[in-house]
Amino acid sequence: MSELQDTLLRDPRFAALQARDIDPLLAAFWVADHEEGKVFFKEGKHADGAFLILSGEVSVTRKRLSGEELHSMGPGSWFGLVALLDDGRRSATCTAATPVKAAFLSEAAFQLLVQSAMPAAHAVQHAVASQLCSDFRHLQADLVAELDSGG
Amino acid sequence: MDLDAKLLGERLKDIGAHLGHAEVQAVAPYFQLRKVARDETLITAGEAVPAAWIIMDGGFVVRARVSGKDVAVVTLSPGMLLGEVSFLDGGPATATVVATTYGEVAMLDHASFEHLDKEHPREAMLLHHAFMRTLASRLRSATEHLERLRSQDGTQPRDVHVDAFGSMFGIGLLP
Repeated sequence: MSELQDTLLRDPRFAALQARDIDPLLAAFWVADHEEGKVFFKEGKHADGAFLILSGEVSVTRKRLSGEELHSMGPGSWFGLVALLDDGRRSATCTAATPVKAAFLSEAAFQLLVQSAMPAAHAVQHAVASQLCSDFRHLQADLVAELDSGG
Repeated sequence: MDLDAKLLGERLKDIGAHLGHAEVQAVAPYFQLRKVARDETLITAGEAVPAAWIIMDGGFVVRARVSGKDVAVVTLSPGMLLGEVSFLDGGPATATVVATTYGEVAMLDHASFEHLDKEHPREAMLLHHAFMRTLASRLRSATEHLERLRSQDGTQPRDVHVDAFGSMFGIGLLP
């Protein structure tokens, strides 16, 4: 079993799929190894896809904070989703904090998934939604903390 | 109560779900139209919310507790989406929403969405995607606000912080 398949199958939504449903999905991703320090994308650039981390850590930084790391992400996390969904520019720079293996889903492949009714497409949509919701709730908690601190 | 499918189609376009006439006709039966009285609470933060709402008519406000005080943080108007986070992840509501005028909202609950997904999977996917796009835009806006707050020297007025919180829920800010 590939690392991509292993990572996906840890999510119950993918684990519930039949092998014949998940195989086309695996083909939609481009898996590659990246050295520590590799810049996946820079803040302000147009989005061309999103990544799913299979191994390693990715750090997120923004210019406004002088390159200070905002947070890091590990295996099973998606990054690059916001710009892909709202057609905006990249809101942060994402860099490999360690050697990273990541699966890239291009914008074209993502749009094809959105337009299709494949079970695997549903699973991707729900996995992406789950990540966005988690990010939103964390952000809300951060904002509430800022408000309550009297800032 | 009958839902105006044509108006629903326009409101769906407002949230980025560009469905054709036949597609709107397909999804409309899965929505329920609900009337909301002025000052009625539509959503209460922290409660289980198994639905998403699209504002068809009327005005609403998002309220939050800021330093122990109940504060209105952003106004919402027709064509805006409510409850998408809880709808997408099944978690508790992230904010309280109160009607400021008589209003009407089109509600899509989970059970109805699952039924829609079985009967019209493509339309369900388009709606789901529109909900995610709304969430992504709010996430971007709120992230930028939070960073602006953190990069300042801590002397920003309270309103700036409230605006940041409001940016999570709507694109219009209180005057």
